Amino acid sequence: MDKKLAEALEFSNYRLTINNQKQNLKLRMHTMCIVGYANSIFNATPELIAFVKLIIDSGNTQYVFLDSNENPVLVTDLNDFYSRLLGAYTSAINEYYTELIKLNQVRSVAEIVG
Amino acid sequence: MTTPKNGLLLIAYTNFTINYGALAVLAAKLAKRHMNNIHVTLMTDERTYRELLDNGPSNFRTAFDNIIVENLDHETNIRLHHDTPWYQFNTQFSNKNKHTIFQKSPYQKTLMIDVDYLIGNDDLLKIFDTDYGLALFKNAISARNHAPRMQEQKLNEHGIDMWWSTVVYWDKDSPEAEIFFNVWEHVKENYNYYKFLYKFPGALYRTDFAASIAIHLLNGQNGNVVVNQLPGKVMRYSDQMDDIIKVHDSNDMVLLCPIPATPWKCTVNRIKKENIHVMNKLSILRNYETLMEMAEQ
Repeated sequence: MDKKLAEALEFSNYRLTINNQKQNLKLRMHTMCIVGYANSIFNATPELIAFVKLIIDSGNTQYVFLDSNENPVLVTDLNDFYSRLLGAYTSAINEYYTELIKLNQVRSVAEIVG
Repeated sequence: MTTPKNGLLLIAYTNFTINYGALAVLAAKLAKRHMNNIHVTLMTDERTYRELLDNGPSNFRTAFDNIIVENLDHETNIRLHHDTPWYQFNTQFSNKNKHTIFQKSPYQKTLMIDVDYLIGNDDLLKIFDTDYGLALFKNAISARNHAPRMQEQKLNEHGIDMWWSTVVYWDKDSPEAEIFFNVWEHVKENYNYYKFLYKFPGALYRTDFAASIAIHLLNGQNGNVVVNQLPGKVMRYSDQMDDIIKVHDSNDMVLLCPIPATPWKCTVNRIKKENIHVMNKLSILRNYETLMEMAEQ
């Protein structure tokens, strides 16, 4: 096979594998953002975190939120809820960042497979 | 010792081709390692239990906290399995009493997983802290990060959504859960009628289909308000044609994944810290000793 073509195919395989690994990291990050709270399951998204902060800053002491299955849930300790959401999101995004840096330094499929 | 309120339930009925008993031991060990030493019950038949006693892994007694042994005659249900794209075989698939887990589980809150669902993290523990009566996975993603085949998303092209019965969570006090399992039994007993009504092919009894129809009926045949989705909402699975080619840790493995249309072309994918439904059971058994050794660490 032509050397240039062989190199192109190898690079294509490498990109495909890298892309799959990135998808895996993203999925892992999303599952790390799951927070069990008030007998329900929430996804710690930047939107929810910002909304909870807004509700706190508006002087509310309790509020009804939709959980990840769209069930309405009354949260009575907003500050605790906020810190749980932010904590989960921070751990998830930090792990995603660290793992992605490691992945970006990998230069071959063999290195990914380990 | 009293049975705790929450626990994991596994079902294993071995056959001549696939050693489901051994798979259950591994699934239990992985769950204990990654789910904070969760209490595990095995539901099995006399033949599988005898096989475990005589030829099972030496650590099988430490894998389970509770074993329910029944004298069962399994109804014939032949399933075509693939082991990589290059080998396929038919074997008995004993799943027709899966709906009886509701009555038989010793727990108040039960998480039932299939023995080929390998636990790699503690995400599912969060479900025990909810007041959900019933939860399953509706969505799945393959090891290649592709959506499942159409027939594993809907019962037919224009049909109802398919829910996976690989992982089922329920609370014994939930009336919805009790009705769900009763309707599941009704669908199983009238499977040919429902096959005609919901227009799905094949002779194999699939618990995914029976559970999906039960969910549809329970919701008044319109939308879904009864069943919650499990944490993460997406179940990772590897296809029957995929093969485990390297095990780095009990929750870190490399899979060789053929592209279905051109199976001689493959991608490799490393799955880390995830729960994964490995449909190619023989590939688990080929890597059994390594996985078990790492699960025990």
